[in-house]
Amino acid sequence: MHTPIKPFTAAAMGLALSAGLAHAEKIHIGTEGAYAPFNFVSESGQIQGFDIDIVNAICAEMKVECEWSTHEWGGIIPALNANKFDVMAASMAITEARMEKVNFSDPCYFNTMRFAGLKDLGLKEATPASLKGMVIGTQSGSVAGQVLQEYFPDSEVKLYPKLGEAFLDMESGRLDLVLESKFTIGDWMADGVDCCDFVGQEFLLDGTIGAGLAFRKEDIDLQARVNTALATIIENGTYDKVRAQYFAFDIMGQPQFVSQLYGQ
Amino acid sequence: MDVFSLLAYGDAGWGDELLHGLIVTLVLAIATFPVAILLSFIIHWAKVSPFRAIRILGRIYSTVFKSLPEILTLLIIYFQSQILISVAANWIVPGSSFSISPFAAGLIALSLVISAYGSEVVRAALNAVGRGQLEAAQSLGLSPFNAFFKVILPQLWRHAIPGFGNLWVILLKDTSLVSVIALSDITHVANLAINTTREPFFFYLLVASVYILLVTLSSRAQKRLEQRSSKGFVRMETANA
Amino acid sequence: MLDLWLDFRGLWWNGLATTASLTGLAIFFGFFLALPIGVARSKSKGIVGVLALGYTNLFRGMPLLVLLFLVYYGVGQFSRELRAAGLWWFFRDAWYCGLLALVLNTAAYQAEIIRGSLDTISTSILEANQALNLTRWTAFRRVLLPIAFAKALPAIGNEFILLLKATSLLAIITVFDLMGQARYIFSETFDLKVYYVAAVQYLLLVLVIEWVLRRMEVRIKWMA
Repeated sequence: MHTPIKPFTAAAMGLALSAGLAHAEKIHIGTEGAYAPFNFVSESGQIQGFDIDIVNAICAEMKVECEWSTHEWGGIIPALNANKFDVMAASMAITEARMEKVNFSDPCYFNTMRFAGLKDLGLKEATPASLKGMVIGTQSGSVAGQVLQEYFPDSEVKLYPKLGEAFLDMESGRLDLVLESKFTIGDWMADGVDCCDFVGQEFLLDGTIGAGLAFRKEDIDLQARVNTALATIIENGTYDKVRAQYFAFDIMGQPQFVSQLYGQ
Repeated sequence: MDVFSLLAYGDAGWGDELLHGLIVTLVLAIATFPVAILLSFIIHWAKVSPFRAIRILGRIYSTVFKSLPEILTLLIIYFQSQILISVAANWIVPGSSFSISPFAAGLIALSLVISAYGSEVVRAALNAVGRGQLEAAQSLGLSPFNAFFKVILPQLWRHAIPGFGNLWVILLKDTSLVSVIALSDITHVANLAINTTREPFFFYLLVASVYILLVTLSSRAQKRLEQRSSKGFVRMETANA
Repeated sequence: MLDLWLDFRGLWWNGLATTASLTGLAIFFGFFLALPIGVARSKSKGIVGVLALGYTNLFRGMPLLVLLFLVYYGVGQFSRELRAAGLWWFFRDAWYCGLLALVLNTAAYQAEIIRGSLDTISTSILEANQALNLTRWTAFRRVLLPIAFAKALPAIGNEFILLLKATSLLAIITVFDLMGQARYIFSETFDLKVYYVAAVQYLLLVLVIEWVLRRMEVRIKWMA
């Protein structure tokens, strides 16, 4: 069961009062909805993806009702802190900088990034030297953007509000490369795109410990309950069942850090 | 590939989602408009208030909201008013928390922007009615309240329709900006559809056509309203011209 | 708030320069596109007049945001054809695409302004032109246009400010104007004050433009 987008529920029309009521606990989950295969809106108008299935399994385990809403990536942390929702499930990489603003659950998986480049360029490797002067795109406010700024100062970096827009510019050839999660790139390529190939090795931003769910700083209790439920669904096999629907391989393995690859 | 199959109604296509988006767009515009008009009058009265402080506040209001890009106003309202409202809610009912939806944020932000322009429409329309009408009404013993609602307002609409009609069209198009804070209006739904179908030209062209249609219908309606409201005036004015 | 400006002042300056140059170029090119359309709206009855009307209805009827998406992502879908036509250098660039969308949009509004001011020029001026034995073209160029421009200036000044605000939308197609920088700095700091810093800069820009326009208007008021 997926939750349809209903912008016209009573709550959406105006101010929603969410005082702590005793019965039928409801948790509001926020996601981006534009990051396939983790969270996206399908032509049936419903939010779908790995993030959604995992969190729905967690909600079932916690015996709470979960209500989904979508938010712009660029404002998703402020939206969480402004009470627009209670738990963020948007495949966000757990980094120290973000931990200053929000708390994270234990990692749900490791979202490793990799370059994809135009086939015409015939790139064999992705190093700061080989990508000099090239136009590289990614989503703004992402860990990939940080990597590009830190390690690829001689390339032109273009930042997009939505990842899908970077992919559109890849297809038109406005971009030479895109740096993003290998899973999202894989999902995009599997859709009959033949412009591009993976280039170079996969890596993580230093200090990232996987992708997780995020909570407001003060919701320590909720964070603990979600962590317990996450551990349970990993243990009882529910997690693997969901994972197998999306990926035929383990996504908990931790790859190398970017500094091991490009750092001196 | 046949792009029109992307518009199938139901689970297989984007037709129903786009229609829903269109309804969101229309409901937002229709809900915002009366609020914006009411605010326009209030801001106009603030600008001509006998109190200097209120006059200055009215002027600052319209300068600020006429100067800031609508999208910036929208983002500030969406995130900032939340903090103010949360504090207020906590003060009234301790432990409670309100959340302001993208819809409400859009309604508030667009009302602020439109009313900054609307206050000028009100001023021009009141000038056109003329001060003599108010004085005459008051000398007949009507209270200022009655004088305004029974004498001035019925005459005001005729002069205000072109200005407000213009603002309605601006409002209708400005609703597209709420897609930036993820309210599922028609532009936002098109973005989602493009995300999976990757047919930007088709979907944006479709959305542009829908807006053009809405704007065309609006200006038709406005013309008819203008004709109706100036019945009995037209002949006199052409005679004078 | 001042520290937020100072910490990122390089970015803010870049953003200000981009916003100012985009606004200036768009109003400039928009004016020259609007001129024939506005004249056609005012003077032409036949097919030319209908085409001009179609243009203004089209580009005033759709939100600039949608036009921007259409020109950037929509047209980008035809990159192969555009490459073959030798136009890709233009459409490849977000800045050019943004400028094009702004020009198309503002030309529609400016054309209506020009039409309005041409329509209000009284018949006595036209008669005077004939009495002076000016050719139609000379009369148009030396008498009608300057007067129309003087009449249109307040409205074009208004359009200037609307356009300045409209440039903020280009941030969404990866142009780093003032709004683009604000969004970027916000994504780095998650500090809402960033948007207030941007707001103050927009406010100052508008106040400066208004001041300049008022001085210009005073100078050529005698003509209007």
